[in-house]
Amino acid sequence: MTDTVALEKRRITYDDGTVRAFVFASVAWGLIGLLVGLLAALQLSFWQLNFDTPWLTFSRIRPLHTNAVIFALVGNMMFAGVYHSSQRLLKSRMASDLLSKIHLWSWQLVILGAAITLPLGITQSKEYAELEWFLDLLVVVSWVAFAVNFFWTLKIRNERNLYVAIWFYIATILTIAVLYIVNNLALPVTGTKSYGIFAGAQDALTQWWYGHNAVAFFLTTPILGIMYYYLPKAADRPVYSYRLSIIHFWALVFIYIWAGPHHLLYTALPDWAQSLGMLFSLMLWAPSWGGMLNGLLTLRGAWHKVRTDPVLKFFVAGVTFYGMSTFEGPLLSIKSVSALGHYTDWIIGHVHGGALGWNGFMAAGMFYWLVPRLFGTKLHSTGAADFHFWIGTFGILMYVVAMWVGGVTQGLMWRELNPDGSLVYPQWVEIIAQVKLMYMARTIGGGMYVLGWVLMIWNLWKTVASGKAVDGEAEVTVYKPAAGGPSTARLVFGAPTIMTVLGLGACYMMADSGNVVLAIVGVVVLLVIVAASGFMLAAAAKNRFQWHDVTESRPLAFTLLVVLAVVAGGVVELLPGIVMNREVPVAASGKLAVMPYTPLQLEGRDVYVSEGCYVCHSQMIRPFYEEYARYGAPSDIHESAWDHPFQWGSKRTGPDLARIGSYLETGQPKYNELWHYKHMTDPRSVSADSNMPGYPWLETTKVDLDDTPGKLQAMQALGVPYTDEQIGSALDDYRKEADGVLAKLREQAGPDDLAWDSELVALIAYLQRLGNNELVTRTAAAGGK
Amino acid sequence: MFKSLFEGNALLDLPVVTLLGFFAAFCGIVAWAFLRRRAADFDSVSQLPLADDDVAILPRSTERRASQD
Ligand code: HEC
Repeated sequence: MTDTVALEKRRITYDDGTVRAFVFASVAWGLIGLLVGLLAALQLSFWQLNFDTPWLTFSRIRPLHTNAVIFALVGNMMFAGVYHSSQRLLKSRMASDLLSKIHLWSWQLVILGAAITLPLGITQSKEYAELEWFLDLLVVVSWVAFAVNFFWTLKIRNERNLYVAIWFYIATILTIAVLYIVNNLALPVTGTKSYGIFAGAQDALTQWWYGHNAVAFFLTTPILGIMYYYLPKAADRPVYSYRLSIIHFWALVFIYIWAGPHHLLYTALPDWAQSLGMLFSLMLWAPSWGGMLNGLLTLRGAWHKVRTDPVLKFFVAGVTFYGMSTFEGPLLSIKSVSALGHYTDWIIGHVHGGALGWNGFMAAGMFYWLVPRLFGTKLHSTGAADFHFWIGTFGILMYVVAMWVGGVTQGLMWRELNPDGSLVYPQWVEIIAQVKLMYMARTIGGGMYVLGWVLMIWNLWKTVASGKAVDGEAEVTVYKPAAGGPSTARLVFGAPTIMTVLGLGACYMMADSGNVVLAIVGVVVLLVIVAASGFMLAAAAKNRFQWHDVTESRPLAFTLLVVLAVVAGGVVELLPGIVMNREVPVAASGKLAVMPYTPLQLEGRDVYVSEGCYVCHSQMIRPFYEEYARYGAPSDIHESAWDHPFQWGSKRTGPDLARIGSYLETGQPKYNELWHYKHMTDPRSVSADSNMPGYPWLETTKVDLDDTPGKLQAMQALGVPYTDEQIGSALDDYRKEADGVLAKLREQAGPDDLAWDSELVALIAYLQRLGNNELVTRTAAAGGK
Repeated sequence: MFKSLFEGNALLDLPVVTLLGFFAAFCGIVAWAFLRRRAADFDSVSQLPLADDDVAILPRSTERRASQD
């Protein structure tokens, strides 16, 4: 828009083909994601449904379910909404059809990649960031195409004012870019495996800064933008208070980014960071409810329409679920509530209220509104859409209530003590038995929701069949560029691209663990980039018509403020992690209190990561007496110092494993090697009624020892104190230690045909190592109430 | 136990400083939203989603009138 001279009226056609494709992708991938979720739910009730098949096993498909719902269902739905509404709000076709296509197809390729790699056990094991490095690169390509296309469209728009929905989209695009890149910084070790550059507490902080803000800026802000556009349209009246929507926006941008540590309450994370997270989480409640009320009050005087219009039904319920989730979230971030609810199924209920109620219903409402218009026809069946609404609502409520009851039951049973201080329910399977019914109810609720989704697919399909694809048109006033449109070269070498590349470099420097100077330089560079972009854009705005001047500078100022808010909030949250002293104390024996893993243990750990044991097991004992009684001394921040990535976990479908190899005061492993051997190949053989899947293939799958020295080397590069000699003798050490495990198995009258280089031997060595550190807290009678 | 990790690190004044800066900026925006911008402004912007029904809609009301002749 820099060199606009002439003014003309022109008829433009919107690119609605891309919108249709994203809708289709969301609906279709969404069904797969939901079905995988249903299977996962069933597996917790019927372990047989794991089929002893690696790629069908719960711990591998649960990440597939979460990724599919977040990135495929919501992602594609969000893109559909953003492309459709932005073109109309900006009165311009998307700037580049090519970029739209690149974005569309590369995104589907990412999803396809996820659907293949996650069941194969190719994973970083960081929740909602499981995709390995090569897919991460593709995500970046896709997102950059989206971002460039969007901002370019913003630049050539034909509407001076930016409606609040656009602000939400801007915040989404910028923030997700920063979050995703920082959290996924990793050192590739092989073609399909990388080690994240962060470890332990630092990694945990980064991950949950990402995890929390992915909920904020992927599942919330873009959908709020969509709400602010489609709800007024469907209700045919402007939003209740535009002023309130502005406040809503800024409050979310300023507060959300700080609330991440509420995922880590009572962990080994520093206290002040936990308190900060709790404080900001509580503050979030106000703007969220402001937004909800703003949405609902938009319907003032139009409530009769809700009765007849399924679109409004879905929106009203969706916004209400938003209100519910944003009340429950801050509630759960109160330390004492978190103490009860964390690691339980309550959290699963919480996220499904949000995902099914807010995201899923907003998606359905938008699709029912959009598809008839994209095909120039009417919705095939209002009755079917209504039925979808009712069965979906009932399904969600059943799901959520079952998980509340189940979660609170778990939390209470975990902490129930006899008068003598011993646990009332020391056996984990007793607790599983108590929630079995709730698991069934959850599955039924989820099943009803899926049924509703299927009904929607049928309804939309019929609608599409009765119409024909039409692209929206509008007559707009265009400010003609003086010398042709932006060329591809200008796109590639333009300031935004260069700034993006520089920004990525700065993020990398900022995140480079262990080097404070580099980190500070990174932060400075990042701030300079923001400032420079501001100046450049402001300068560009000078060459325009008077009124354009004002117009342009406003969204730019907004964009900059958003970036500043997000980057600054992020830096402050991550800085302690970055400058954190990683030094592990030296024990009385003269050795490091926490030794790096041996080559065998490291390979075992990689098996643990790859199989996704973290989806059911935590490795983080909280400082409560009842956890001490069940698992041993609270976890110390140093114990995960060498863990790339951390395995603290977030859900305890099974017990915590942090001290499984050095149990309570005994200092001895809780189980011997044979127990683990039996348990891993067939859990029910040693723990009747367990719902843990079996992993019999670990017995026959071999560790690829060609990669082992390289893995140690990568760890060394990341700051784990391996010596060159250790790397040199890695294979010999591996063999020796593996033979030791086999000898023990034979002693215990176990199998004598287990191969020394099987994955199972490595995994057993890793499990027996957990908790075997020489930290002071380990022996001190820690864990007082 | 963890406090010692952070002791004497000047960088850690940053959270506090930034926090205060944030509150100031946020309050500024709230004030701006309520005071500086006239309500009429908001009214026209809030109509945007309703004014784009894909049929010869022009960006501004004045121009729409102009195009009718
Ligand atoms: C579906 C969730 C689930 C997954 C996935 C899972 N487990 Fe378990 N695990 C359980 C449950 C439930 C128990 C408790 C009952 C039992 O002993 O089997 C358990 C128990 C254990 C125990 C014994 C803990 C104790 O204190 O008694 C170990 C060790 C263990 N699992 C290791 C693993 C490993 C290693 C993996 C990954 C290869 C894994 N689990 C995957 C659910 C799971």
